[in-house]
Amino acid sequence: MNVQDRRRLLGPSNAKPIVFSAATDIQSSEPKKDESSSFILNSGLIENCNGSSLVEIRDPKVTQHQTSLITSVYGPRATKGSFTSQASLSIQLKNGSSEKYNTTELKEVSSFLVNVFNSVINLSRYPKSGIDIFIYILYDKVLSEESKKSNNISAILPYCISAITLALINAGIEVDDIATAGYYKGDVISFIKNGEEVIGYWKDEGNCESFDVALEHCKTEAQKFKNLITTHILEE
Amino acid sequence: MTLSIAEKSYLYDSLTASPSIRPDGRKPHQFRPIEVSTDFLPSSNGSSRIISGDGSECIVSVKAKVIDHTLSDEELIQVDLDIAGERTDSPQVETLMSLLNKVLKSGPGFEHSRLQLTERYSFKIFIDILVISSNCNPASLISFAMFSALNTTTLPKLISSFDDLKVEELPMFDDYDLVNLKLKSPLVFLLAIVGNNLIVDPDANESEVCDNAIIVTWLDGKIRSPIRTLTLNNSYSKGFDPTLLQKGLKLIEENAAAVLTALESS
Amino acid sequence: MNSIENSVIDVKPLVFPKDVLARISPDLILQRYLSLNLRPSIRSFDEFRDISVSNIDDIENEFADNVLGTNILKCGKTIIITTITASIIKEENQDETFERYYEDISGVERRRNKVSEYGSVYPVVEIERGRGNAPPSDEEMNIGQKLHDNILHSGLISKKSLKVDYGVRITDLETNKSKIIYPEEDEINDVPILQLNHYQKNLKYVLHAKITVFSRTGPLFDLCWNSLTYALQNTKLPKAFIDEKAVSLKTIIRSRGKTTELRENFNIICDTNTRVPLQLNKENIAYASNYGIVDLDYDLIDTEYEEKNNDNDKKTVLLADINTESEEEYINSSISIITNKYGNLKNIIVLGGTSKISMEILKKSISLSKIRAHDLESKA
Repeated sequence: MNVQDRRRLLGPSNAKPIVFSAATDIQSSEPKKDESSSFILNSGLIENCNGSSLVEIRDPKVTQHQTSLITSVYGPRATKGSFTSQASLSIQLKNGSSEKYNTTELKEVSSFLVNVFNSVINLSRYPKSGIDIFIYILYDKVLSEESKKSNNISAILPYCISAITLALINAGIEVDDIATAGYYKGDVISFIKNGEEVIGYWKDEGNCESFDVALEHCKTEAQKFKNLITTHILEE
Repeated sequence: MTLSIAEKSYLYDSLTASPSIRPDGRKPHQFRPIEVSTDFLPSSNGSSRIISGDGSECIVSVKAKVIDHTLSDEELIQVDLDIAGERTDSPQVETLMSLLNKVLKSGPGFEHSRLQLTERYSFKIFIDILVISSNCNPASLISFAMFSALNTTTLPKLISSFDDLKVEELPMFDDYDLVNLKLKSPLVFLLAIVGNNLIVDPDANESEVCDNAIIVTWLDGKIRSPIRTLTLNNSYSKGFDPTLLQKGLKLIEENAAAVLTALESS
Repeated sequence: MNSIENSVIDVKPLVFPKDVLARISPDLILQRYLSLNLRPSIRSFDEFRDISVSNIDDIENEFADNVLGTNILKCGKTIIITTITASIIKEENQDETFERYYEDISGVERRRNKVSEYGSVYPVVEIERGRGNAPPSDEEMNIGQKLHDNILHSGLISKKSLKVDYGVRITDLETNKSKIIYPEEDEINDVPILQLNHYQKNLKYVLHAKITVFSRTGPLFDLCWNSLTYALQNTKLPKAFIDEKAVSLKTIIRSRGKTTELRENFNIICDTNTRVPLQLNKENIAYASNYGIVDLDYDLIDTEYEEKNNDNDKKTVLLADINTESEEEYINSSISIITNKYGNLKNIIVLGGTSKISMEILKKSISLSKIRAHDLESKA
């Protein structure tokens, strides 16, 4: 599959991408740990789509990530081909400024998110249509030194879920409930109906000894996101 | 092959009944029979072929290469997946491949350090998987095949010294002798949730009507990461009670050891 | 029966909301606005949209990232995000032979070859419109090509500034500490730099730009250009080094038959901690703006107009910064200018279209561009 892309200007083919030395030097110059967390939600910022949202979160405590996501929803729009009784959902994640996550991992996350939102969106209300969701990871920065080594995408999953929920609401697409998720030490659990129903569980790290604890923590986290989203909607 | 709406509804009702009635009369924790043959590819270091009762079939080949692990910190096991009839960049293939790479990631109980040859060099294992036919999610089947392949993998025997940091020396191998790698890879189980019931190893029809499903990884008596929920169909997918998750994990923990013994005896 | 008798055909004038009318008849809505001395976006004729510029500050702390420069440009609803990355290429020793050749030629030829002193950026433009993994659209390809060509010909980046002057990482065997020595630190260290120069190969940075556009509302080239220019201005190139172990690393490559060839590897590593700003030719920094030319067509909005005014001169107006669908659809005469505040023109494209572009209009557009460039420069 070594086909040259003639349609994009990708530069000379024999150029090597730059490689950085591992940051072995002790970077003691970063003790400025301001423990403030901030959540910025915004919706409807993109003109030519049906719904969009901007989620900017800085959370030094739980997920230890500082992330900004731009989400756009296109649809429901008519699909080609034969009749389908319900809408088909597609979600795409894209690396923004930094090529941090590899595409295979992003695809796995995308299909997990599709699984989650298949159970939330009222798909049968939109027959023969497609709903396409695009998430652009504007930036994603790990705030703590320990978690810097493991390049783990699971921490930003709750943000993705909140961002999609917000964009779907902005697009006026029918959802059963506001889906949110919480993160606790590598576990991500997504809930609807005030934590009574689980719609997604993702675990990438560690063993499964303290599931009960994780469940409770994720529930409170998810509730926090839900409150943020509802206040945002009401303010609009 | 696909069921009509009425048939699906009937199946759903019987699966949600207490106790659940599966179309093929299996118990909730019962697997379909599988047939495994190993070491059938002469040019690979290890190989296996697995055929499930419903005609799903998968071939795994293990190959090894010597690399200098001081130069890069890449993973020592790399999985490549090909599903017949699917593009290599299709979401299904990429998702499964990413999952399998995470399953085989080094961790407690499954240390890649066993692949280390000398101070400087290591074996890098390439696992090529070909799913010839599959009727439902092949994750579990693939992991069984990978287990049998890795379990029977033999690698050349090292005859040069282990300590080669001071002296530049390439590792030397015995001409004939092979060493059994005996790497026990984690097993992956697929668990379907239908109503308040949990069924293990759902077949194609059961997948069509289940509410949700969990992929669970198990190694050496313990549940470990990665764990994922996924929906196996679009029309029936919905949320489930959190307690079912706990129940499901327990169900796997109780029954996985039996699967392991079955696989090891083959 | 009653209904038939009473059926009077009631002709109601159709009333469309503004957005719908802009789709159906962009010319009508545009002309209506223009007759009020306004534009559909409620700007005056020579008013530009305000541009706000920021960059992702956080990335600058993130040393392990391969992002070298960023810019986020907001203009109206449109958001353009540009990130600069780089790769390294080994240039064959053409430069020496080229320089010899360069001395022989003169005049036009020399000027023509001046271009080869400059480097460019390889931009990949992506306009978000919810199409997924579709191949790039014509617009994306055009903008990319135009950006590349114009950066090259504007002389913004000279090839010298892209050269990789790499050092050597030397590891002290006793203390097991490593340090990096760069060529320019020659006099400070007593390490045999000569030896280092011996290995100095002709390596060059290749700059790549990834430009992502959200909510496209009008022509994009000038916005992309400005965003790229801002991003290049805050681009910092990393210092690179080569490990002493790898300095003399050569691999033998056997190609066809018995000919063997020694190929030197360049396992060059970039320093995570030190970065130097990319040296741009400051006098060549320029900003882009675009203009549309429209003939005012009073017939369209006022049917009795012609009877009142018999003179045939149509009034032609210059609209700065084309935006919104009705303007973009209807205007087919346009001017695109890249200049700096002193009127140092880098590129000018005039598309005649259906309207007459007079000298006055050209002059006006250039003077507006200078003002715009002045304003944009203050934001860098």
